[in-house]
Amino acid sequence: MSRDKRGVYRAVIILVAVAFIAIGLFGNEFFDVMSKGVMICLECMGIG
Amino acid sequence: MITKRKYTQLLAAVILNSNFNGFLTGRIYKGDLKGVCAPGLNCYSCPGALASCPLGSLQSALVKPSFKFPFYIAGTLLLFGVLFGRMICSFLCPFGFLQELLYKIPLPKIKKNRFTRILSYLKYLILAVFVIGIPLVNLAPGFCKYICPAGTLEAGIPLTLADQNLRAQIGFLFSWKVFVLVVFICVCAMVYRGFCRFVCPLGAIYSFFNYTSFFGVEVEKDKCTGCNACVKYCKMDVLKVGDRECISCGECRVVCKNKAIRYKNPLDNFVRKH
Repeated sequence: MSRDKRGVYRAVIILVAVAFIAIGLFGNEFFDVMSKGVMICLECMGIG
Repeated sequence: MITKRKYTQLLAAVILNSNFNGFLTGRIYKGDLKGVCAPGLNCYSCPGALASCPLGSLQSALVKPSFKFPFYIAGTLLLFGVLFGRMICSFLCPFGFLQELLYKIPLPKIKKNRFTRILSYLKYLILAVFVIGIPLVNLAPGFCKYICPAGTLEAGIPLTLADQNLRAQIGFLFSWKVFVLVVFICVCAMVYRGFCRFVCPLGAIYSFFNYTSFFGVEVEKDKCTGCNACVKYCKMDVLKVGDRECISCGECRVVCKNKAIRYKNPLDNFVRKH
């Protein structure tokens, strides 16, 4: 992969990533992740 | 010899699990940082965990009956991927670090071969079926529930030891997960990064970014003679340096006589003209 091509891919992926994170934050997904993370995950433990 | 990479792995594992009080009380951290995903595989129900597991969060988002694309988690994974690729596996993943420690147990070792190379595709199947398919169809976090040995080791065992109520709920599923964990411990003692190479869906996701990531290793083509010493030396199932199986540990640099392997310069596209 040429350097120029790689640079374009990087720029596009970063833009998409930042856009996704922004959309997610506006959609309160941060709190969705947090609300899951602060509860004990019974499935992860092998109980649920 | 303890390398800088080992220190980085240890530091990452400690920082990501620095709610030390949780190990004593059997209570997990409930602060705002749990809204942030860790880069590596680290169960969010580990008493020490400060951040959330990206795979667990992804499955949890897909499990919801009213499907909504998980933009925040997908964006986070894209960002980690394009920044570091699978370098996360070799430098930042606590479970990767544990696997490397297990490989130090003096037992007969199984080297990479054609079969392990084929087996390295299994993680993509697990990603598709257990991380995406089962949560979408069956409404259960398939990977966390049936496979993830990190969850059993980091959350299941410490929390059931600390909490009598949880201990009372132990059933077949817990026994299954402990069995899976024991199998992986045995495998990782004989096969270098056995879980990482064949099973880990997070590594599978990051592998898509290995060619484009800002950080990682690369070969300077004008210096490379194609002797393949790097590929022979590598314990992962790589066909060439920097491919999907390369975790960018950089250990192959020592065997390259022409010094053709180097860490990528993340500013290459901005400061170099070709």
